[in-house]
Amino acid sequence: MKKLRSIYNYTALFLFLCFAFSCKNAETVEDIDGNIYHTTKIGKQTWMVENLKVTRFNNGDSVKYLKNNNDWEQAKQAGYSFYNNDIDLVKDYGFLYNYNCLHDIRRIAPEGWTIPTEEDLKELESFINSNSIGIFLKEKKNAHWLPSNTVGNNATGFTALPGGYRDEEGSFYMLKSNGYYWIKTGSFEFYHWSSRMFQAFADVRRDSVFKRYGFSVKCIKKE
Amino acid sequence: MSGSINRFVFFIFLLSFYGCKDSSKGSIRDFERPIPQQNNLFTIPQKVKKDFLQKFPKLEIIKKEEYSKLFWDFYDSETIPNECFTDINNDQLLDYALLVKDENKLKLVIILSADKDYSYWISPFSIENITVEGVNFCISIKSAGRTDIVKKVSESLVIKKNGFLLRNLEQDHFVFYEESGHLKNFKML
Repeated sequence: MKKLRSIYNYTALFLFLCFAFSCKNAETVEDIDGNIYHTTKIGKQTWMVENLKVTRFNNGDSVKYLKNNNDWEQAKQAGYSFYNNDIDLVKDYGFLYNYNCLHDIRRIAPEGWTIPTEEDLKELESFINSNSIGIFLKEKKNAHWLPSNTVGNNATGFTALPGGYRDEEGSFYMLKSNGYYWIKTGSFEFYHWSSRMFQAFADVRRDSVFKRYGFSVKCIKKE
Repeated sequence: MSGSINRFVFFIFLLSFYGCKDSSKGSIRDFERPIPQQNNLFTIPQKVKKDFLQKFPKLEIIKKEEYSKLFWDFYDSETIPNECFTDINNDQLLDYALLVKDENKLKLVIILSADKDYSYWISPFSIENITVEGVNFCISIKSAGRTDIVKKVSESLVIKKNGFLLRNLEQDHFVFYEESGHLKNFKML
């Protein structure tokens, strides 16, 4: 009887651990490299909280790390870099990806996730429905942002950060001041001084030079 | 014995029913919209202004009271029209812009921050002569990006870093920006 009870206890513990382990993805998502991202639900959408920092496509192929300016400028394929090639900045700001990464069929977004579209952004704006949308989307207080007279409260959990950008020649700009995120056709932006969200910097349909720019990426969960 | 098995089965049933519930599915998650009053917001440090005035005692920083009545027809009284700040030279430090009075001439001052010191740039030209009606110009931030003008000839400016935008009432007048260590301006009117 004692032995049976012991088997029962161990089995129950084992099953409990199995369930607990299988539930770990409820509020997080893991990329192919094993990086774990928190997620936040905003209206009906689910967004990544941290900026993407994956180095491989979902089939295991590497995304090319384009370190020097010439490689970045000449790149015809998907590539990533990180601000000033300073690895210490990756933990907070993630990578800056070029446009080819967004449309590569091997996909950089984790399984079940995707790069946001203009429609996704419109839905986000429509749900938040405020002229001060940036306040709700920017990180709480100014740990990463330069001082400002508008401070984010991150009520949505989106956690927009000022990761800056890399231009077509490979130079890095505006860390701590401006945050640029890819959608499939261009960028959307946040500025340290503004309570708004902008969509005015890069539109690849109007100017293809932006395909050679590098911006941060936040993936969105597929419906 | 039978009771133990029943309890075990019931326990597993509860786990499978509740344990993996993903609260993100099928629901709409909302948040509080009202933005509480923001206190202790950043303004240009008094020390920066004081150091500047000590270095250039002939100049005076324009005060809000010196703005024309017409200006306040365009702008909210909460606006701070005579000063602003952002990083214009990509060093991740705030740089400052101030509108100043040089006798009766309105000029722009840009204060570039370095690690422990500042450097100063004063517009070599007068933006306007200040009259009894008051000041009509204000300074704000021009974010990195492209600016196109069509008058009198079409012209474009692409700035890779943020700059300062000088407005005459509601009209964009000048962009001041840093490039290769030099401060430049782009006239828009």
